Parts: sequence; structure tokens; C-alpha cells
Amino acid sequence: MLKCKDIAEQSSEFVDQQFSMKQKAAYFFHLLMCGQCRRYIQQFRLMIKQSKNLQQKPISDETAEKILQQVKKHNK
Amino acid sequence: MKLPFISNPTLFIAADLIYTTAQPITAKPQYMISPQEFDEATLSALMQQDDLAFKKLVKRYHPMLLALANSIVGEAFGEEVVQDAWISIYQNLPGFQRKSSLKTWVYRITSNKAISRLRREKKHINFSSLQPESYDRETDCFDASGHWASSQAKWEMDQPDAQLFTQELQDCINHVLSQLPPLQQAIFMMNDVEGESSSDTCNNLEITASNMRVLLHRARFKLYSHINHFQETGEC
Repeated sequence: MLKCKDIAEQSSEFVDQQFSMKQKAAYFFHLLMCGQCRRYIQQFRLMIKQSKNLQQKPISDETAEKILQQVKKHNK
Repeated sequence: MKLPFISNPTLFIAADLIYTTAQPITAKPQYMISPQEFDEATLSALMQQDDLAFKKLVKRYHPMLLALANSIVGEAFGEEVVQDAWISIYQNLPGFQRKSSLKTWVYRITSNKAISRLRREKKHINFSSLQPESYDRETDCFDASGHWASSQAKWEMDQPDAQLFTQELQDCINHVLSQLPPLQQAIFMMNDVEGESSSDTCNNLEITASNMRVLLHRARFKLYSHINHFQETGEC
């Protein structure tokens, strides 16, 4: 039977749907029994879903201008 | 979607979880304009090497390209590689044929530059720092019997679709991301943030699919641990 540690270690494979039916059944069986892991996997999944909305730290206008000038200088 | 015919609360939660986890995570970043990242007018301007459009492109992709280059060639050469990549991108924009998305094209040019630089500099680079790391099990989070060592914090969410990443948490995540090993950072950014396919991520970084999965999970679990800590304590 899977332990909580296995649930965490396999959580990316589970969320990315790379499990066989047998693996999925064992995983769900543990989730059915374990509230902590149910919370973990729900929040882990939520994190991945919302990572797509993560704003990267933008570079400044000055840096973008500097890159453009270097590119144009090289292109002359 | 709820399943009203199940009355036992545990079974209900589990069944709801099974339903929701069976759905693929396909949402696109809100700031992306489909099907291209830039609208037609901007794309046309880019192909004519317009200054404003090019700066827009630089602002959009420079952090990602730097993460990509750092992951391949190391931080010592990352900036130089990205600068070379921007020169190539600028020179080749008029001939961009739209066979792939602009994003994929830009990533490919950068990874090719980084790989060429890696080959050129390989005598001077400590390769051990660039190799994918072995998989450390997350032992600190679990007790000797393999159970969680402490309870999972319930994340504060007013409603299921609420924005998880407040500005404060987002700053914390950006900090954690910057501390990740370069390859983990690049994989997470390409796969989970930018929504690149696994195969494109592997091709750009020249790693195997199994390596990618291991490193992606390590990055995700580290971020999860930090978000959990933030939710518990309010501190990064």
C-alpha cells in the first residue's frame, strides 16, 4: 500500500496523468483513506494550474532599450 | 461539478477529487493572445524590425531566455548567450516563416546559441554543476513511517477559483524560483508557466523526458513547500 511519501513523490505523474490504471487505483485508494494527502494533492494541483498566471519579474524599459541598441549596433 | 448522490462526506470529497483530478490542466496564461503571443499588427511590425515591437518582444521573453541559457551554459555565460540570441533573432525576424509559434522560434534560437557556446567553452566549464541532479526524496516532510511529519496547512482561498498568487506570495515565488538550480528553474518556467509541451521543453534543453519529469517534480515540490509555509506563517 502506498504511503504519504509515495503520494507526494508521485504527485506530478498523477496530476500530469501519466499513470496506468493499476497505479491510478492504488493512488486513489490512498487518497480515499487519507485526508492529509487529499488536501495535499488538491493544493498541489491548484498551484500548478495557477502557475500559468505567474507574472515573471519584468525587465525595465532601460534594459530593453539597452538590448535594442546593442543589437542595432551589431547589425550595422 | 458536484456529485450529489454520494452522502458520506469522505467519499464525497474523494469522488469530487477523482473527478477534478481526472481533468487535464490546460488553462493558458491570461496574458497570452491566442494563437500567437503577439497580435498580427505587432508581429508584422516585428518582422519589419520595428524598435517598439522589438522592445516589447525583449520585455516579454528576456527573463525566460536568460533562465533557458543559464540552465544550459551556466550563469557565467548566460547573459552573453542571450545577447547573441537577440542579435540573431533581430536579424532573422524579417524571414520568420510562422512555421512554429514566435515563442518556440525564439526559444529554439536561444537554446541553439547556448548549446554552441557550451561546446565551445566546455574545457572551462565545471560540468558537474550543469548535470541534472539526482533525485533527493523529500525526507524532511515525512516521518520514519512515511506519513506527513506535520499537517498540511489549508490554503486561504475565498472561493475555489480565487487567485492564489497574491502580489506578496508572487514575490515570494519569484524569489524561490530564482534560488532553484538553473535547470529546474528553466523546466518549471517553460513547462508550467509558459505552457510549452514536454517534448519542446526536452528538445530546447536537450534532456530526456525522464530527467525532465524528475526535475520538474523537484521544482514543483519545492515551490509547494514554500507556498505551504507562506500560508501557515505569512512569511516567505
